[in-house]
Amino acid sequence: MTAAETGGPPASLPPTRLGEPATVLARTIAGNRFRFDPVIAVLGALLAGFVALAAVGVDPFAAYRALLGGAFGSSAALSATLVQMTPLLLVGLALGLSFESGFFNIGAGGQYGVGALAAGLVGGFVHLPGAAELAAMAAAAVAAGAIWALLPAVLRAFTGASEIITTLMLSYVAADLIDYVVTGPGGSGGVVNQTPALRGNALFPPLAAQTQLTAAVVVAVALVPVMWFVLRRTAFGYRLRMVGKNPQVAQAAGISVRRTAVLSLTASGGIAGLGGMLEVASVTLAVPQNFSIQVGFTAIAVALLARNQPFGILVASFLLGGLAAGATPMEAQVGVSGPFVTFLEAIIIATVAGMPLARRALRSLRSRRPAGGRP
Amino acid sequence: MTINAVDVATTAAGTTLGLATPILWCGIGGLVSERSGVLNIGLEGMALIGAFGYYAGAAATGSAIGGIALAVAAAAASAMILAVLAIHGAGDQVITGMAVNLLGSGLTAFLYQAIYGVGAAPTVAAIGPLAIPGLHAIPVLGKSLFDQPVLTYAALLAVPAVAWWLRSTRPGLRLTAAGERPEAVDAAGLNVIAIRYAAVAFSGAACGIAGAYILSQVQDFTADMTAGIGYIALATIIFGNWRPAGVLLGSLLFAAAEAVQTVLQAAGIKVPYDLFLAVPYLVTIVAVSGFVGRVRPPAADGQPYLRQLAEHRGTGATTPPPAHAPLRARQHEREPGPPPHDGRVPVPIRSQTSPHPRSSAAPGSPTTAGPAPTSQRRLVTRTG
Repeated sequence: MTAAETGGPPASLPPTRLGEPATVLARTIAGNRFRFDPVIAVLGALLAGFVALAAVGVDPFAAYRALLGGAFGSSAALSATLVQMTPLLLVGLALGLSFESGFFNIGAGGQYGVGALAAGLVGGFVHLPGAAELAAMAAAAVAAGAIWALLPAVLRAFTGASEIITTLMLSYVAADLIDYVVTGPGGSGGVVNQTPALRGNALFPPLAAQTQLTAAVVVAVALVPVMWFVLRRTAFGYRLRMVGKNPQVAQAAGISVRRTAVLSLTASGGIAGLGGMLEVASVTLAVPQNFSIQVGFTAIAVALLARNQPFGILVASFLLGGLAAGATPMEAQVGVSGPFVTFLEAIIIATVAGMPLARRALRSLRSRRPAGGRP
Repeated sequence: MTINAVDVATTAAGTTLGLATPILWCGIGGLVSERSGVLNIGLEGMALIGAFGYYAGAAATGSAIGGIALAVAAAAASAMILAVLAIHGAGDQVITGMAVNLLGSGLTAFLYQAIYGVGAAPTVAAIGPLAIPGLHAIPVLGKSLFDQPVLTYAALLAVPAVAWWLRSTRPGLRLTAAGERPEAVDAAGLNVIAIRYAAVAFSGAACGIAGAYILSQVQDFTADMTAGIGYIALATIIFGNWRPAGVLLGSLLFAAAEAVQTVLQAAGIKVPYDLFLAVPYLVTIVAVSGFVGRVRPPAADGQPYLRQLAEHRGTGATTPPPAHAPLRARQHEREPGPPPHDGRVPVPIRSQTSPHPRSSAAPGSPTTAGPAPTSQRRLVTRTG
């Protein structure tokens, strides 16, 4: 899988720096070496966190015991982790898809938000029998997320407007739109500004008593192999990855880069939107004012750690979901909480991002050859 | 009724200027960074670190000066994270900037919780308004424009100063050149990397002042208190077409939307103010979309300058690296993370019908323009 994963270049591409016969073997080894990157990043973040905790006078061992115990230490902790994992997994998959095709859907949080809003409105105001209710909510959420990503996608494809800026701006528009809708036309009219509370068949069936764990996590995990199949085993996924590797070559090979840009970004938006629906129909049970779309940023760490691979995103979202779940008991025991976890995420991203630099520095030290000599 | 309208106008103008100040500081910082070729998405995180720096500095020294000093130092130090990772092309600049944002959000709230969270947190020194003698007596305008904190005046003065510096001084021109044609700067024997480090450090310091301003107005720290001004500043840079005066205009526009909304809300006038708040973001999207007067970022904005790449690239800095040569370099420069072609330079994606530059000898030849289903299918099976 590894050789294929690194995108075994088609014949039209120039040969890699590794010679022809050794390519497969060397790539496998190289691929395996890179798999340690996420591990180093996580360990590095935990180490940085250890230093930070000790520096401010918090017992790091007690803090980590509380954090990891609250994340993975008991069945209640694990179910809390799975609850936190669900939106991270969906938005992580959405980001992975867009990153893989070379487009930065930095505002996935906005698509997640409008997806949640659409699901909350459909679930709150439209009542359908049986599973049709959840299906309608999911369809509305996917459509809303995809539409939210459509404008940046079309602008990127046809005017070259940076999707980084447009999706980021639209995520703020999404937050404003949610506040407008829940305080006005889409509000429940109750004391709390939110969409009507979901009940009955508009909620995912619970999986375990006394927890927030519902069938939503099953839907999320089931999407992982689907995403893998689409990316690795379909012509669409192949085109998408090829555009991500090199748009000029893809264009020359007859792949419409525009079409791929639009498809990949809207698909990414749809998946993020579905993530919002899963959250609303299993955890928040209504869309409140100031609905948090922070997951759009946290999921960047997920996609980066996993190097956009669906199964890796599953693992990374489980890990970061665990950190989020463990923040609550950690606060109760040592008085530091969510912000500390955000700090760990930042270090993870920075470490993953900095790894090639460190490797390059090591390599040039070893070979004692100047990194960029002039002719 | 007229008196009331005058009051409202005075309040709105004063509030606008107050809200515009931190956006303007961040915007000027980001502008300098981008003009040197480093895309700085981390403005928000740096401003937060500045705000916390002011809090800690002012709490420790008891003076606003100490607060500003620590704010600038801390924010500039955090900018070095971005600088190290982004300038040398290690990580994608967008990703790195987001890491700085998360770092600012997480680290400041964590430190505040851990250091000041036990017991009553102290209230720190404010930076009060400084009425300019004479001018502040002018009706309406005087009260709103000439009775502001000193950091507001400084921001307004920084706009022409930076504009002049960039356009008319030797280091300013070098900085601009580093963002447009780093190869040329390098060939002239100047150090592109050093110029970019200085620019990023400046952007961190400016964001630090933005954070210091925000904190000095409320005198206590809260998590994520900058509330997105770093992202708004990013928008004003684009809106302002990478010019200081444009950044000023953009920050006034964003601030006015918020101020008008606040004033209307306080006056009890019913408007969908949440939608009102969204208008500046939509204006930015229109600005960047290229429908109304195309904005043009610095040619090398967001592209790390690496000599290995530059050799392949020749002097064609304005186009993305050609497909063939840098593929190798890219593969080992940027292994993890999103694929590399994505600087935010709005290079329109070539249409399927337009010939690829390298195939221009035979435009429209079936091998380049048409789809190649057979070979694709073969390759798909190969990957499996």
